[in-house]
Amino acid sequence: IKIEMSPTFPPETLHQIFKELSYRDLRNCVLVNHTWSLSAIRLLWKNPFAFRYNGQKNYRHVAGKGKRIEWYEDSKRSLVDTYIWCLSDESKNSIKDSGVEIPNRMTQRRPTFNYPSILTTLNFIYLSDIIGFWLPTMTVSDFPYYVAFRELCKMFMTNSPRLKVLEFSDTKAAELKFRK
Amino acid sequence: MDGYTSNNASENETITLKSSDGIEFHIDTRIANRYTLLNNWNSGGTYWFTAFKKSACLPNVTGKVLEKVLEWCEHHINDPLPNYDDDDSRRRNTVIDDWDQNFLNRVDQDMLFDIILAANYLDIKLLLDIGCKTVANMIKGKSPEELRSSFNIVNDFTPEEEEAIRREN
Repeated sequence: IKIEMSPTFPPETLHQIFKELSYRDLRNCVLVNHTWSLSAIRLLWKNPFAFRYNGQKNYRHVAGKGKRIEWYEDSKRSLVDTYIWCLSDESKNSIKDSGVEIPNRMTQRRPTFNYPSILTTLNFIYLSDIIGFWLPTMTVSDFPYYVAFRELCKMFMTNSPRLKVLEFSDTKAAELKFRK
Repeated sequence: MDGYTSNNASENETITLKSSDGIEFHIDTRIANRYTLLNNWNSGGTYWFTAFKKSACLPNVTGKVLEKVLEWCEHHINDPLPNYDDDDSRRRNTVIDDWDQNFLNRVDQDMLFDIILAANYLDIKLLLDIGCKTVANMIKGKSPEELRSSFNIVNDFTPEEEEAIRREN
């Protein structure tokens, strides 16, 4: 019988290994154990918008175009869900006051990690777009939509010390345009 | 600079390295120079540098592992030196070549991990890079459960924690 210790790579080595992985593989690493989770989350939440909007690399993992879109939509929905969950009680109250219900599970307990603290790149177009997945019946011109956008921006301003890049355009579309 | 002409004078000199379990290796000074003096030795490489000056004992590396690491170093002794300052070019350049692929395929998983740890400890960046790439390839496409069993990792989450993390991500 072979009794082994789990490989304990130093954090910087685990980080280097994980940098080679796609969004989907990183999501599997998150659920392995605490050490892997921390390392994978640091990569997943640095620029979570890029994975969902610029993630050409992930296309091959999903079979069929319909399924692909569905998968992207799910991942956007879960992103906005988690960020709304991370909001302060005060912000959640502002959203409630604008007439939108916040599920109990999001007010009773805090998320496991402080996800906004990892963010380095924020794209306003994509941020606005993901809110649409949380408020599917509303548009940018509706008041609750504005409140959610404002409160999320507030959170990133106060809780994201690593935030270094602000983007104001659809980087993927812009890039494709200039390539031609 | 092509990295080794400056060391031609010491080509025949050897240095003795001693592993944690007391096995001695006589290595070409050029190997020592490649991975120490020329390679940002004021940070990670310092250890080797000072070690070579005195008795070169490596308390973190066993003889079995050191032998593999040195085999790799010897094979690559005449490679042009990459630009270590540029992290991106380093990553682009690490397409695993056939020899390296074969070298890593021949070792078992424990040895692969030990080689990575040793490369990290000894600051041999290219060996570390290809080792990490190899492990990344082993991760690709596996479920969390498959990852735990192939890497012998114990699940230290409570079911509640696991469910919460799954939901948040």
